[in-house]
Amino acid sequence: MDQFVTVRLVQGNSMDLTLFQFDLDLTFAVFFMNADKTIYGRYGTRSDQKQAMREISIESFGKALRAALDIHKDYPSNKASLAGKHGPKPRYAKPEQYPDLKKFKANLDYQGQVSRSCMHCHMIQAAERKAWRSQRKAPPDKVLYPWPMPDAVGLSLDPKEKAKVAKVARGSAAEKARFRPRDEILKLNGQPILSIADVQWVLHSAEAPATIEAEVLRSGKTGTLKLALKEDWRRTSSISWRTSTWDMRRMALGGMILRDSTTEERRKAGLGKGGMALFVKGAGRHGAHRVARNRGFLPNDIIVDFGGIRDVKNESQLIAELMRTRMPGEKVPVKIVRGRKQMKLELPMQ
Amino acid sequence: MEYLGVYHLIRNIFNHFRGASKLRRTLTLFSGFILMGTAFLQAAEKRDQMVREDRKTFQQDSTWIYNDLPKALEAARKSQKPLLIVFR
Repeated sequence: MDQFVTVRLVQGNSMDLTLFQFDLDLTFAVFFMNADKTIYGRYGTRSDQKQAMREISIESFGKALRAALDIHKDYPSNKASLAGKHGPKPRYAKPEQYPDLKKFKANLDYQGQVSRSCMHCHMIQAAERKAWRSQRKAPPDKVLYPWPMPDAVGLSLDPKEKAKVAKVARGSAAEKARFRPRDEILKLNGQPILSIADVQWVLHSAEAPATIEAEVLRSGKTGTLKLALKEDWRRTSSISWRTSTWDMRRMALGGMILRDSTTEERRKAGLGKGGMALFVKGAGRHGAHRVARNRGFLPNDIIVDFGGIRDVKNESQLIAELMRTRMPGEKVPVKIVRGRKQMKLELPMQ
Repeated sequence: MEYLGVYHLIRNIFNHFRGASKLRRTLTLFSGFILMGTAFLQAAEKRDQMVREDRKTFQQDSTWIYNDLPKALEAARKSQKPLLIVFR
């Protein structure tokens, strides 16, 4: 650590969004960078609301630190390979420019209510989605499913390593590209990979459809694999764990929190194994998050049809589908099962 | 979560007094709001205090630059070291 200049940034306020593009739902994110602002790599990954440490470890962090030092040692001869680590021009250069975040000032109010003056990173992600929504436009998959985990393409990576394949899912894009367990991903699209977050960055930046070129180390030899991604490849990612999804629950679900129904719950409701059956785990009680409750939805209801949508697999897919296809003010008919009774309700989109 | 707990406590008290006089109900509700407001403010103050203490701790630690990117960039330029930037 003493080989780095270490700095801790605690606020979203006034963040340079041109430079700092990372998963805004993280509670711990790291950049390795040169003084001229060239990004060497990122660190920090999360895919669960409760288990913040599942995809990170002190071992992988140590390996990422060493890899960053190696890049620094070779800099600037390797500068061209790092160009892809910078993102495109964002909608706004500073978060306070989002209409929804204008109330925040550039600096924290340490003398007053400092917590309230602090813009949380997830608020920036939510503000981006709201900007699309307020223009009555469907947000692209990149905005709905940010920072896909490698499992979206069928790769499980070892959390104790930089980017080492632990498992390859059957039938996945990764299997078709011939990834194998124990492959070490050295580069993606020419960018050196320091961490799982770096893999996510390449996935996040990828178009759909796209082909990503991977340089892997297998049994001491390097080789190249081509990962072909279909148009809808992002849609298997889970966004339910994300704090920034909370506002989409308001917009699309009127404040409901959904989960998959268990086999037992399906049986009790008289539902078969197939088809959508999303269990209402909770319904908001306050303000705009109370809309579903006001329209008659209750916890323990099972949603089987949401405006004709009957085939999504989970809450993430339903939210994203509604965000894409239903605009604020639209009233969507919803079929639910309460106990064993089928009911028809209506939910206005926000 | 603290103030949610207080909210439910107050709601239970209010339900208990449902049959009581209008004055008694009003007083209960009023004191409930005061209690809720106090709990909410206390939680906010605690958070603010934690943030200030956190800043103090980091500012006393010579190995970390706290919330000052320009200073860190300058230090990296002078020392020729790479930057480790943590968002937390």
